[in-house]
Amino acid sequence: MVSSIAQFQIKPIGAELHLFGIDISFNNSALFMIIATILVSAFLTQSVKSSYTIPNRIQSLAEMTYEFTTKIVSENVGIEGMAYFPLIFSLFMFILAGNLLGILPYAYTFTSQIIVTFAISIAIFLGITVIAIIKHGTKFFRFFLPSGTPVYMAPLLIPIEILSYLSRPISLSVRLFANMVAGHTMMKVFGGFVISLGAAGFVPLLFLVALTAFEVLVAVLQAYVFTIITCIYLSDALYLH
Amino acid sequence: MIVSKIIYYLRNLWLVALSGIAYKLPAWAASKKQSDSSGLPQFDTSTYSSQIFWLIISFLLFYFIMSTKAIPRIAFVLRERQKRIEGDINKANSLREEADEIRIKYERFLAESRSQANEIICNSINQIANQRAHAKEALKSSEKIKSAEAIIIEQKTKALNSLDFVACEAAAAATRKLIGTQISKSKVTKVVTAIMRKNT
Repeated sequence: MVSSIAQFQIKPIGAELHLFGIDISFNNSALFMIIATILVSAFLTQSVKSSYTIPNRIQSLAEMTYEFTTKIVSENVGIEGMAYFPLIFSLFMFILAGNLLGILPYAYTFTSQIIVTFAISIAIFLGITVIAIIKHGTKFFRFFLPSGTPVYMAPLLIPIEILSYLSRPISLSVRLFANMVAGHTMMKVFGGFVISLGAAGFVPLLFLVALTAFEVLVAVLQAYVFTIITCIYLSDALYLH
Repeated sequence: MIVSKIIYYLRNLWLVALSGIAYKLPAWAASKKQSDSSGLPQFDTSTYSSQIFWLIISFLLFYFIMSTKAIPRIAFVLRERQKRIEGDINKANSLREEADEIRIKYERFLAESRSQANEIICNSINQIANQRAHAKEALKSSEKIKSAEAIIIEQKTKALNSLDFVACEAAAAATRKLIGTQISKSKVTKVVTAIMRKNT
């Protein structure tokens, strides 16, 4: 029986590449990042062509993702956040594409790689922190001591606030990574049952069908959660709290 | 607002930060090369550098296409549609207002012509009533005239009759005075009426 975690194995494609002594070999994870980029770009640019009045199905879908993200940004960050809209939108669509592509058989889920989710979230974390410091200067550090707190609570509260602030990129990345890994592992385990149980395998097969639908839900939900939490962090940076 | 401008330019900053990690991690990756095959493949640090590299490449490309092509295009289409819908609504509103105006005009015209017609009807009713009154009066006066004529005729015949009598008396008296003979009354009457008939 094939190990249920073998699906996460990074397999190099083509020759080993090096840049300044760093290994940048192309692999299945990278392949699906590129596929996601091409697919989403094609979807969003080619579907929205010239018809202005009544959009067809695929164009409505493209417009829906746009309006959905607009709503997330405007509701969670506000008008000031619209400057960051292209980034939030890209983030959402990229993660969504990664999650959904991963459900296809033989596809690789690059969002199930902790390094990928962590790289994205640490970049967001650093970017947001820099924005907050530029916007508020030293006032930013008041963020770690909520106003109205008694002074004697400060020694206890400040470390807690700093710790919770620093754990943001970790929680953000681990949430997405763990969801993807858990779902895909479970699907693989049940797939193994289908084979090993023989004729009785249709029972786990039925379960697998339901699980696949559930995975689609999780894929969309996790992309949404990632985006909305990014928006919340961004609004914290813009307005403090 | 220099600050807001700086922030505006810095919204691409996390892409820079992302590339910064690419420089930070290779050393870590190199130090742990060829880890054991047991455990999750995600914790095999040897794959990290290439994945980060391709993540940066693909996400930069993705961000570039989204911000320069996809988002402006969708925004344009949505704005255009919004404009069109608003234009249609405005047009419909103006048409409705126009229709309202026309209706009001029409109603006013209708009311006017109705009142005019009423006036005409009232006038003609009055006129007819007047004419009728006149006619009645005229009728009354013509009746009076008729009765007066009848009276006149009656008086006339009365007068004529009395004239006969007077003429006879006068004729009889004249004959007696002139020739001294008494002529019978019936004879005188016969002669007088014969003469009067001849004259009339």
